[in-house]
Amino acid sequence: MKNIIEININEKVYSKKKEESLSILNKFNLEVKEGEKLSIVGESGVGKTSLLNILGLIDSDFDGTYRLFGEDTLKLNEKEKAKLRNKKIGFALQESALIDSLSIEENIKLPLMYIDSKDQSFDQKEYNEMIHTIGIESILKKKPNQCSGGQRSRAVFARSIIMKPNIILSDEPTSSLDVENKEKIMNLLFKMNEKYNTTIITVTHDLEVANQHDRVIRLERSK
Amino acid sequence: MRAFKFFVNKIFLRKIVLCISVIFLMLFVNYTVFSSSRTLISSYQGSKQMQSMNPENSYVGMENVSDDEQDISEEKVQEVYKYLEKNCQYSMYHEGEMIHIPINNEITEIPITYINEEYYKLSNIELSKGKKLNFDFKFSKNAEIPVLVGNELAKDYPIGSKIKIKTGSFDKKIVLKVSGVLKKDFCYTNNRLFCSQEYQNFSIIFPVNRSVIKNANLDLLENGLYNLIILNTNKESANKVSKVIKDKLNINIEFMSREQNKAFFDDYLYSAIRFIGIIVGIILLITMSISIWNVIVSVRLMKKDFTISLLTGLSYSKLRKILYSFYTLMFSADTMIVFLIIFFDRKRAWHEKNSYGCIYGVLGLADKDWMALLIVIVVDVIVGTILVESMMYKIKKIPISLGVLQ
Amino acid sequence: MKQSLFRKKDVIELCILYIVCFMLEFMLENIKNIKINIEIVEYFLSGFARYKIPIVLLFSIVVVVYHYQFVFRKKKEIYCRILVGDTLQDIKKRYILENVTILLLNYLLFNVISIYLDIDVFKNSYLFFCFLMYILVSTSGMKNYESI
Repeated sequence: MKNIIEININEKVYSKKKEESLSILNKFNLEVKEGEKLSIVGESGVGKTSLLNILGLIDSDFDGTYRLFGEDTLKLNEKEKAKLRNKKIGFALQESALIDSLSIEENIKLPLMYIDSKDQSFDQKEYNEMIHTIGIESILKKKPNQCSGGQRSRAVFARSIIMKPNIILSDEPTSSLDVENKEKIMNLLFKMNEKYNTTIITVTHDLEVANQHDRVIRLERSK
Repeated sequence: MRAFKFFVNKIFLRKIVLCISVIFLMLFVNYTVFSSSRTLISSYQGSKQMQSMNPENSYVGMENVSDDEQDISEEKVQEVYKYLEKNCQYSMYHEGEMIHIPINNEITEIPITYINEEYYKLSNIELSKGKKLNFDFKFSKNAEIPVLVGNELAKDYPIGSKIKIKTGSFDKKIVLKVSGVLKKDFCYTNNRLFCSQEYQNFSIIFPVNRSVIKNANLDLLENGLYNLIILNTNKESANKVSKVIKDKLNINIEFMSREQNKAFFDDYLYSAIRFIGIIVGIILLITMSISIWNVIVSVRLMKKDFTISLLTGLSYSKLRKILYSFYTLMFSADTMIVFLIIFFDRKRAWHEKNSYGCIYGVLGLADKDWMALLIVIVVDVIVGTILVESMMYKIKKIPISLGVLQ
Repeated sequence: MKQSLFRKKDVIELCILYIVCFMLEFMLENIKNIKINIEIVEYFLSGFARYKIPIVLLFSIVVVVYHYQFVFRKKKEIYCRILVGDTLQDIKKRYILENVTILLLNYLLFNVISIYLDIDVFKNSYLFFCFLMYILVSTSGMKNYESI
């Protein structure tokens, strides 16, 4: 299988204020194959979420190279990156990553707002099936604050897969869930991997979740 | 105190736009309330002063402006005054004339007010030093006219000093001799705009008697006729005066009785209060609505901070106290700004030598300014209570749970 | 409007604030033309007319508050939209465009009223440019929410 992610980071400087800059992900290299399930673990502040931002084309401010699907992402403009995010990358984040003023259904269908009209690949039947599988039919018309944490997590997950992306980047997707919901979400994630050969990259603190992946990488603080 | 400091530094001031907006909105409310209160207080004071000039059986002259061409000459005006001398007891004054005299080695423009004896008696002029104004003198070439001067002017021209002036009211130069000093901040009400008081700290009060009238120019004589009050008389005699003025000068002056005058002032003041009340009411309503919206926005933005504080042991009653203290701080800043605006406005009158505006007052502010500031504080207390209670109502509606933090 | 950050409630809220500010400007501008024949009231109102610009600008802070809270409130939405394929640049462009449209409508409304009442038009232009500046400045606040 071919590599879909090839990244070499010499250094990523993370700074909230000029005087408080922090160097992370020093000399970090990673290759991820199509359909691979990879989990990233490591203590807090080591740069897990920053890595996810870089992989998800949200952050390009680092010293190094990043090839995604064989393309040099540093040469892409914002629009091209956004298009890649829309069509090929899904973000399964924590339950709070929903827009409060939109209904759950509007939140799930948010990526559809950004596809070209000539590029309509949305299949209502498939969508209904997905909603049914995830088990959120009853909350589609509700606002996020009217739902439980588990329901919101499943809605975020539904949004991340609605475009059938090639890669799903998930950041602690199960951190606020009970055992039953945690299992449900992880099963759905892996089902996507089986059905569509989707690459899964999960950042987690939960070793039980991490060990369910093909490969686990541990990030350590730079010395 | 520690919790209050924490809230101010770490929560409220972090959302500085919200604090500034409350200060600006309340500054607008304070200025509106101050300005309207002061206008109404000074109007009330003015109307009372005007009414005191209008005792029982007196008739106040008011010009009825018409398109008829007036036929005024010095000779005819003198005839009117002759009629008045012979047939009536009357008060007259002429104010607003400016003269130039040296003050502190600098030529300064100051106002001079001409009043006759009856007007002097009616206006209850109080002195801080010297003798009452003497009207028993002969206006001749070398005469020294006894005058009263304002308190500030007395610093350069104390009792006994002489002032040489040239005015439009007389052909020749005249010499004034200071015989008394007016009490600090003595003022007259402007009879055309009785919410405006004219302070006399820089003024000269000039006595007018028969010999002065004989020697005066048209300026003084004509203006004096517009400010006539006929005393101890009846409607018939007052109407006769009106007819004489009409016949000789073609000026329409209507004399109003004390009752008519009181009704006029009451009606005028009531209309003014009603209008100003409506305007201020609308402004307050709009500003309050916007301020309440501002409060709701603040709660929306600080929801997380409030929740964390409440989860970590802050009680609603303590939060209420913190909010009241914070709003007191902001409203005090606003009241202070209004005070400074007025203070510098009053100071400017001294700097620009605006004689009618110069007052001493307490901390440079007139009594009516202080009264208006007191009303501002009362309004601030009411507005502050409404805003804090609205904020508490909104905060209490937030379910205190971890869900808010997520 | 599907990609817009504005909801109907947000538009109404902003319109009300613009109307209040333009109305205040309109009233203070035309106070001197009102003949009430009560000198005290005219004297009182003249105090407001004299300080028209500072009063209006002081009051316009409510629009700054609106933009401030709007951008603050929408940070999660901006973040979610970027995740699913939007760009910050496009979000900013749409934000400016929609804001300017709402502002322009209110500005024109008041000038049409002025034309109808035969009053000097475009006297409120300074306020229009001031609001325009607020919009542009508030846009710069969006950069903070670019990444997770």
